[in-house]
Amino acid sequence: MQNLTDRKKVVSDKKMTFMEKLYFPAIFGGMWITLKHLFRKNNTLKYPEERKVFAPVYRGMHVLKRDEEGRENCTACGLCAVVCPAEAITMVAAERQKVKNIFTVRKSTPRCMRSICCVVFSVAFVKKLVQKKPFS
Amino acid sequence: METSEIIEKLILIVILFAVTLGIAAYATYFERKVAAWFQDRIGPDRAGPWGILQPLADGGKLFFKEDFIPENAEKWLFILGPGIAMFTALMTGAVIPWGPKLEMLGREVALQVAEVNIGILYIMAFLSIGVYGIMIGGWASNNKYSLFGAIRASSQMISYELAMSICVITVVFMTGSLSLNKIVESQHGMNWNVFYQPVGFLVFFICSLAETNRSPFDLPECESELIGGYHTEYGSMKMGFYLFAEYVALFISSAVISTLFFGGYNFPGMDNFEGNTLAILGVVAMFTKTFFFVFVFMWIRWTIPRFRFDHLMHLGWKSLIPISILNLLITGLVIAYNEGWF
Repeated sequence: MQNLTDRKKVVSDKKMTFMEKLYFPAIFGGMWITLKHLFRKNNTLKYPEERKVFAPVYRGMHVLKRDEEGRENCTACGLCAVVCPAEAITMVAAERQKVKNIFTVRKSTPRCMRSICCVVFSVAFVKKLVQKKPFS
Repeated sequence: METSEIIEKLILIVILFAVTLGIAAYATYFERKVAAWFQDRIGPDRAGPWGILQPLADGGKLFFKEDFIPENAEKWLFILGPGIAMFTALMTGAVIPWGPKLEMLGREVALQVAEVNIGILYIMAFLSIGVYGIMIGGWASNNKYSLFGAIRASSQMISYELAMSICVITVVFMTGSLSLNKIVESQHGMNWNVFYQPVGFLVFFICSLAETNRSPFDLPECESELIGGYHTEYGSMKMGFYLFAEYVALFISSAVISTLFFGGYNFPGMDNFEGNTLAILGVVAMFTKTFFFVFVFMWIRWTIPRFRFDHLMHLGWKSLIPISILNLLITGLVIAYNEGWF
């Protein structure tokens, strides 16, 4: 089989040699690694002051889009619920109340794995159904 | 005792007390900073510039928490536990010589609170009483996790104290005295014990990791399996005392390591200085060594994973004690040979 990474290691159950039983080479090796990290640049983003710059293809959160009159673009075709691999979407269709809220798409978010199959798939049928929005 | 001597000792005690507590407080800060640096993070930086007010914020928070005693806990022992832990941790620093004699107002001031001629025994005694705080606290909280922590702490302490004491005896062999002052004086200049007793130093260092309940031997309080171990039921400043005592013990055992094996206040080229300059440089050397070991303790904590309990016992009884006894025998033979016994 083709290796997925070049970091594959074969685990063996052989008896440890005397040097390995001493543990010291391994311990000093580990301490050397942490010491190298001591002088490395940190990766911290100081959140309220600094914001992450998102890539244009960033997926973000799902938000139902509305048209100019405030109606949702969703037509409750149910394709998103069909295509969702995590089965996170339950479609509850209801009649339009007044002008707004034609249908409701309910997402049970804990199961949602942000694969946006629903967006990709549904957009092909209904244009401008959902839009992307960063988390803050 | 003269009045002036009493005043001098009182001032020394207050200074030592303040310095120990301050260093312990900032050890908590540096523990978090060092951990952050090792993990490519920044660490606490919100309270004050670079977060240096973090220990104050922590202390203030602990004081304002509800001081809770569980219903089924043994009330007085529950209160006594952190007290003993803190008391023993602070008492140990009294016999450590922090520097050469200082001349001040026409008097010679020894930078040591108590010149006990059995100083090293005193330190060993107080280190072993320290476990009583953990044991009593763990037992009194009437919680199985705390009890597990307490049992582990006591068995670990008993196993590692033996090897530790034997290493101390080898140092006493070399010096011929139990007084810490004499031990430090015998390592004048660069004549440190670590060059004659590398094995003894290594065993002593591993044992002091176990004695201070630091990683990789932090089984009494492993967060991941015992939810904090002996201080699971503690809150407010009582828990603060336990955590604080741990850091005081960390500082003191670093000081003991540098006194016994790294020459205490001695530094290379110390013969070129005299009087107060020598005293101040000696104190600086002592604290540099101590801080270095505090850093090494932290470094080890953020590198090496925790031992399993049976591995810990195997290491203590099957490796460290035989090694230290062998080291003791060889040292004894070499000393006897040098003295011309055979």
